[in-house]
Amino acid sequence: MKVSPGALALKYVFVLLAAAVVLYPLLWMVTMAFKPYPEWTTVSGLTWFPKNPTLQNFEFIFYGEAEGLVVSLDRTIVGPLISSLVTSICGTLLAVVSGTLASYAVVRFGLAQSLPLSVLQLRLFPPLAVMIPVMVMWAFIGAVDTWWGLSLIYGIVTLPFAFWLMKTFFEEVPVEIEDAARVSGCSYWRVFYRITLPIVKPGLATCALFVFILNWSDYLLALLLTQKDWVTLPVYMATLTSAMGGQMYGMKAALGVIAAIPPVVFGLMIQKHLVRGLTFGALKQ
Amino acid sequence: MSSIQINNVTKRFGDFTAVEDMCLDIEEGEFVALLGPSGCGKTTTMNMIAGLEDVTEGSILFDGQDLSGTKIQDRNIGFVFQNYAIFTHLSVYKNLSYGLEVKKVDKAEIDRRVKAMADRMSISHRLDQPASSLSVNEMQKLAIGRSAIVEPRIFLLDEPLSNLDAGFRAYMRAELKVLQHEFGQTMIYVTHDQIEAMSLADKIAIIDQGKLMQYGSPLEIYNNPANRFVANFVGSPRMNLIDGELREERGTLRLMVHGGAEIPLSGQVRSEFSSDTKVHSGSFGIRPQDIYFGARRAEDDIEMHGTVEVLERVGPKRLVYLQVLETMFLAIDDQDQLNVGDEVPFYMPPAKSLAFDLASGRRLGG
Ligand SMILES: Nc1ncnc2c1ncn2[C@@H]1O[C@H](COP(=O)(O)OP(=O)(O)OP(=O)(O)O)[C@@H](O)[C@H]1O
Ligand SMILES: [Mg+2]
Repeated sequence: MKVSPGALALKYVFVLLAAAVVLYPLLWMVTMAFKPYPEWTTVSGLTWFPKNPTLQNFEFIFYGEAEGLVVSLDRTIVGPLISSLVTSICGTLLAVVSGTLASYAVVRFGLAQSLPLSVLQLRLFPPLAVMIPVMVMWAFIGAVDTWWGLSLIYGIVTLPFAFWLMKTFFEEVPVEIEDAARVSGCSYWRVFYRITLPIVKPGLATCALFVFILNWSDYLLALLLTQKDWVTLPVYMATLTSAMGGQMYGMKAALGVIAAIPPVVFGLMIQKHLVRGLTFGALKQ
Repeated sequence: MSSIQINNVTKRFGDFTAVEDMCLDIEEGEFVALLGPSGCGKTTTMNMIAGLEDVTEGSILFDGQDLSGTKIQDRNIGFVFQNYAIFTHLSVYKNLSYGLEVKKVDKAEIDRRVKAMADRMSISHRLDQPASSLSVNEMQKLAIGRSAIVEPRIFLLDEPLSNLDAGFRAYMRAELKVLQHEFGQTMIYVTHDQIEAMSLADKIAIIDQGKLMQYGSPLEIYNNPANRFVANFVGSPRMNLIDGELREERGTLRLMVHGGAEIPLSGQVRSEFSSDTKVHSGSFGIRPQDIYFGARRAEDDIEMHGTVEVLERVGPKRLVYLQVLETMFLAIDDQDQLNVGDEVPFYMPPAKSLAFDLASGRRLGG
């Protein structure tokens, strides 16, 4: 199909517009992270790029103090970073593994036909609505401010999402492929992990990425269920506000840059699958 | 190699009966075709034989032995699926070796057998490529090769040719026959194409709406259909089946067709129609090639008059559409003796005509 120059131009205008909207805050964050304190505010006139680029902000959040800064931190980023990584990864594993197994059972064996809807209902109200009872429960079992307590709630909250996403992927796997494997002599388990899982691998990767991002960017659950030891990055970021130096824009931006790295790396790792998507060529109808 | 007995098998999905009281006896080494229209329960029957679906009632015996307690992976069955079900995430080689690997066959032996099978199915040059890159024709060969390589005791093929282009289809049909001789295996073959069934199978089971209509050799089914459904389904061009009311008038039994046409019954077909006095409406069947024109050949041949509506050339012959009032007869003109618009007499030998009860479809007399 031949596209007229006008249409092409229009297309680019829209693409650029969308990109600008998405990238503008990102760019702002990245440049801010490298600006020294005087350049944070309008006093010296705001610029797009730092006039005197510095790693001061990073130094500060990693070491708690930095040359030329009077303020200091009683907590560095290291603890929250580890906390975020551990709880997000564990929560993701929990949600993806149990969501995958559950949705496979529902799709392939017709078990618990009412489960999909009830799981969805779980997702219909905001987690905040049940947070008070959850806090009581977590306190009761000693899960508050532990890595497993937070991982558990992450897994639970994102499970419906993982379940529904994996369900749609499994529904697209033709049952005959599994039957063919079973006739060849595979047990149910073997069919599942040698045939079905590899086929839905792109879906699995996509699902894991989305769930990871949901967990990684959570603020509310971590705020309510952690106190000190297992504070996560978003909660930690909020604490940077109230230090005596006022708003620490540069440090927050530096923190943001660091916080953006794991999802980006994860995304790049599975990019091949994301781009390819699900292509089932086995069926010739 | 195994014989298979299907004894009074019924399969229900909830309230829906997909297969009803099916009985089939398949001998060792026999090639049986399951033939029927779409949705009649062919795949369901195959799935039950393979053990992919449980039997609701009845039993399936292999060499006289009930395998319902045996796990499907221990049954050693070759199954070629309707949509091939190729493992597209694996290479062609891995597809072929899959069944052997599962059975923990020795590596060198696997390699030898995979190469031999790839050679046999002429897909050797594709071995290292992903199976998803194959053409439909090659997928088909791969699907057959993958099932045959484990040397199964029975071989089930579910419409293996229905997605192929015409040329390759004819080739594969011949190829399958050769394969069956090579393997010597019991084969069950599902198709809705009667020509395929006729040309390949030792025996044909005709199924309609989950019920077995007839089971016999291709010739038996063609010459001696057990009911109206089989008569209608088998044969190309299709058999003439004329429905009407039976009426006895002045000593002759006639079939009064809606629209006014009348078929005066005589000879054998007449006695067949009158063999059951409870039957009041019947169906008269005759194959197009049994209708003839020109001079009467036998005393009791049924004579009728019709107008030639359409002539359709099929190779050296022509199909003739004869209009008798509102009824259409299909005949064959092999001497190019007719013209459109001709009003001609035609004859139907009673010995070649079939009588059916219209209500039940049952064959009368015969
Ligand atoms: N799992 C199932 N649950 C409910 N109904 C089913 C199921 N499988 C098959 N059926 C029904 O049973 C009937 C027979 O299906 P089957 O697949 O055996 O037909 P078929 O003869 O193979 O048809 P086709 O020529 O289209 O492949 C169909 O009406 C189908 O809708
Ligand atoms: Mg079918």
